[in-house]
Amino acid sequence: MNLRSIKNEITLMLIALSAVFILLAIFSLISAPLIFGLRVIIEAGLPFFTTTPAGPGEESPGGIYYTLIGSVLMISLSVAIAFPIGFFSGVYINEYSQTKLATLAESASHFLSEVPSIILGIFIYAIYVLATKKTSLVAGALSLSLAILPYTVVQVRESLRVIPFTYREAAYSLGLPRWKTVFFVLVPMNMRGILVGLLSAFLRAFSETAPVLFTAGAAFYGFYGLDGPSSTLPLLVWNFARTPYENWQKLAWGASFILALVSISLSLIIRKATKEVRF
Amino acid sequence: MENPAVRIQNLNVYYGNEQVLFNINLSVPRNSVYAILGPSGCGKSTLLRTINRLIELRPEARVEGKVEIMGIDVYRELPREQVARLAGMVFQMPNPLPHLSIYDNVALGPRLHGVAKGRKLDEIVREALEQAGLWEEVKNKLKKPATSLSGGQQQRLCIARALALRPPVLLMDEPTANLDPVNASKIEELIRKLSRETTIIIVTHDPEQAKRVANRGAIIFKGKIVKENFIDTLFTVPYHELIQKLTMEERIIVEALQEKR
Repeated sequence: MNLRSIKNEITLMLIALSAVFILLAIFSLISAPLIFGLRVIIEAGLPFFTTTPAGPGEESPGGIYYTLIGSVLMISLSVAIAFPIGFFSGVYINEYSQTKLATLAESASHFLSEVPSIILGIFIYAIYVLATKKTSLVAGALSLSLAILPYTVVQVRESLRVIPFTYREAAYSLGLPRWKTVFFVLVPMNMRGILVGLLSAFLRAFSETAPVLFTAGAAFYGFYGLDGPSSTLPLLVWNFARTPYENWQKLAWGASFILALVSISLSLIIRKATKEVRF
Repeated sequence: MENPAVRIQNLNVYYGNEQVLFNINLSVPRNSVYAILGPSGCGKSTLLRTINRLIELRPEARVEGKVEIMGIDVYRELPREQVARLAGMVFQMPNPLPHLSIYDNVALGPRLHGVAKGRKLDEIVREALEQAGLWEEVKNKLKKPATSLSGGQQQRLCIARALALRPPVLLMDEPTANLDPVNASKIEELIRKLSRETTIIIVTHDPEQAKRVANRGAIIFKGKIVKENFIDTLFTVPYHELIQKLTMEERIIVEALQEKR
């Protein structure tokens, strides 16, 4: 065996090792919340979903009832705000790509996606929370919607861009005005792409933590309306995992399980749906 | 020519700074088939798309000159959307809208222009499908997606879709280029039949096809009409020899220009 083939073997081994390392890291990252969390949920049973967190140091972890409600409402509200805006911006950027406004909107959306999401939280804190003098579900939803907006824009634009030019010509040759071509032909043609965009928006809003840290409040024991403080699953994990009480740490593990499970399944669905788009 | 179906006068077309059509003048007689021939990239598809203003889909395109369909100046006297009622179009790739049924594909034009509804629309769809020679094959599955049809059927569906608005002119951009010979000959037969009531302008790179279907034609080379006549006299010099000769001349001119520099 000469020097060159030894070098070759060593390099190959290093590459394989780093691949194995990544696989192990991802595997342990996912398996920890799945295994620990699942055990907590099985032990706690149904009350995990229907009660509030137990007192510190008690036997049982209690439950995540109000956090679930807060999550669902806040995420839906943020998607309801961001998706229409993102949809129309995506359509505009794709259809009028030559115009200055479209170029500007595209760069702005790109820039928004690069901004660390904690800054989005601070921004809403400064303009909304300080003005209303309290953290609230709406404030949380607003900061989440800023975080998911750029993803919606890109997704909608892409799902229009991949439609072959010939269908646009077909619609145009029948005398469809441009806006009818977009909304009656192109959008329905790739409804799947648009829906994937909607789903990714939900996934993004579901897993974002930083933007809601200062804006959503931390109400785990009750529901205080849209303009009152609320909480999301990542917030619950953040709040309870760093306490010294074992039952609260368990509560955080259980919530992590749900976070991991939902994000993994949503992203699998998205991956599968995106792969199948074909014309 | 008296009352031609399409009259093109002093037409110049540019993509950005590049000129792609040079001073085109031609007249297409009514109820006939007119062939536009030429090698790839010579501008024949662009010419076709200039007639029904489809070229406006490309923002960098600029059109100078005049195009009349049935005596109406399509660039000055009509909004773009209405041109579809004067000229239907069939494309090289069969492109029925994949999310719509067979029926809805044909009904799309009449619906959008508010031509008909209900029973009357059914009638228009049926008539268009009959004209395209597709009715017998699809009459029992009108609600099926258009993509369930074979390639040849899809192309005839596209012809029906274009005919549903009853345009006096039908533009066809290499309509048989993606079909097998059997389906291609069906389309050619259809073209001859349709030309009794409709004026058809067909772009093709196949001189044999032009001879089979057309009454008259033009040969385009590098954006200029090099020959225009009745189809029998169009090919006094065989087409391929002509193109070869033109290509050769072009090369000599280009080389001469380069040497000058």
